Amino acid sequence: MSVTYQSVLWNAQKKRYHRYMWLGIFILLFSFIGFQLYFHPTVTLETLIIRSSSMVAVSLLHFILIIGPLCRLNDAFLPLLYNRRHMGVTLFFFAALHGIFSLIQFHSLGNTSILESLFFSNEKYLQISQFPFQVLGFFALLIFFLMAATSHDFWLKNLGPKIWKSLHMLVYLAYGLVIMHVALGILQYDSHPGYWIGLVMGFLGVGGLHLSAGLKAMFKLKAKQNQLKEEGFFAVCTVEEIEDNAAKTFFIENENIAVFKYENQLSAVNNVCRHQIGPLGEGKIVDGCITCPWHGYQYQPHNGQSPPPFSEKLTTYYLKVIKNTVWVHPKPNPEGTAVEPVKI
Amino acid sequence: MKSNFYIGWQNDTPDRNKKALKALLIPLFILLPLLAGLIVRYETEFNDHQFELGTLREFQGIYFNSPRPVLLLDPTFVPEGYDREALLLGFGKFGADPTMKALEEKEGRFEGKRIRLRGTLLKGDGKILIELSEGKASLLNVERSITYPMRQTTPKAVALQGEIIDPKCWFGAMKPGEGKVHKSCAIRCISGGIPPVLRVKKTAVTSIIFSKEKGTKTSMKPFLNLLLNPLPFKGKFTIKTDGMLYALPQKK
Repeated sequence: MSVTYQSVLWNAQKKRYHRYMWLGIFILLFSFIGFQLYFHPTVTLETLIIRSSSMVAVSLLHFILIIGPLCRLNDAFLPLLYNRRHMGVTLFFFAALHGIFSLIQFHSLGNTSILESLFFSNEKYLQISQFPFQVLGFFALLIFFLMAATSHDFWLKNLGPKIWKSLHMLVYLAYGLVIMHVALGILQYDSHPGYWIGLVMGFLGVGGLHLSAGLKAMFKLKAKQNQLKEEGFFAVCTVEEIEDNAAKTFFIENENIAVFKYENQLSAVNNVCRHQIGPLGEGKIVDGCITCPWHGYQYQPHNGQSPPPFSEKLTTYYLKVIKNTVWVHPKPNPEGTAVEPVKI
Repeated sequence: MKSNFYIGWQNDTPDRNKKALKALLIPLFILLPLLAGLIVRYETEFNDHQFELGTLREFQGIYFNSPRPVLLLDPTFVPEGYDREALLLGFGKFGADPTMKALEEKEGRFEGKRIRLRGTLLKGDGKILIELSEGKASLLNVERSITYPMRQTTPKAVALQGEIIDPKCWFGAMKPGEGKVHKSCAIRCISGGIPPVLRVKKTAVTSIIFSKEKGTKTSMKPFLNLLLNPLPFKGKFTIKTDGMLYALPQKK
């Protein structure tokens, strides 16, 4: 969290994250280049750049896409999520390297402009096998550019988390475009079955993890249905079911609610972090504040307000405890409304 | 108290997160080079053709502009094992016709004269191509004393099958200079006046350059369509010279 905007808020963890990220990239990049020069010594420098940058970009894209569901399935992987945007910007760098070199190599120095050549050299848009695959890569690169350009918290704040998140969900469209770009491009030339198996396995891996995380969330939600209702309050759980300095989450009347237990009292706030729509209920109470597991944004449990000088606010909810059962009223109070914690 | 809860902006990473990351990243870092090796190992082999990008050489020979601009190189300028006849190409994705035409307008006609050129060598498959990398500055000298006769052609009809490619990229400018990944580039090259080539496999003939009748303008459209056609191209041609082979589709 920061009151003012800085390009990067470096800390020890972030530095470690970068070191390991670049270690992985260098291992992949230099082993790819080394093998390329060993097995295919006649390769040109341009082809080497185009292929190695695409290799890194596609690998990073897969890794970035599995981080979300991996963290939903096991929160021990959360450090990967915290700096995911840095990985996304790095992905854009390699994708741009691939795209720019490809545009220069295949479309420049001709009798048309580069973009005219890209879109109209091959006009077989209605044939799958002859489809101009480079166009797909171009649109994927545009999406990566939009995401990289708006990755900073300045844009998150000014666009608002919903618009920002929707914009960044375009990564799935970009992934589809990249898969088609590879399948209709290089795999029409290097068509060894192993490449197809690799591409399909990558797709199934990303899809499978998303499906598993979705199923886990769905079962969790189903298990909480059939609650008792009385005077607008819903019985949700017993006091003991909530761990100290942690929360349980409930989806009632379309409200996503997290009930926190701390210092022998209970408070209920909206479960969605105002920063990047993170799951606050999976966070903890740290230094008296609800702390988001994704990026560490903090809120005071009794009023849902970030501690001064921060300005983020959550909606709050009324609670009561009757005979050890926790009851929640799903009507949200205006953001930042103080509600007296329920003593237990 | 050391918390087990991960917070990104704190300096320490809890032990359970460290363990999970180690379990994920160590195998991943071991797998990455294996993945790279496997991917590279099964790539389609590149040809050994060469484009001496950035290196300019001088060439001397007799210039003929029909059916395509070529230089019949003096033997001392021919690398061993290569044909004497060198196809001339423009810079980038262009043929040599506009450059040579502009030079002849300025210097006077020099077809059949011995000329000296500076350009970039492309070679492969026993064929030589020269890119006029410096445009009109590529022409260094014209010997006007002797005019060599036009080459005798011995037209013959043959039926051939092969793949339409653009010679500049195939003979070394790009790796690979063929196939789906290179298609748009080949279209640009042929649209820019580089003569299309039929690469014939499994015969003694490696490549045939499609020609045009003198004084006519051959549309490149059919060749561009052929480039987009993945099927092998079949056709009957009239071969016009015995050096580098030039062909015209036979008239029906």
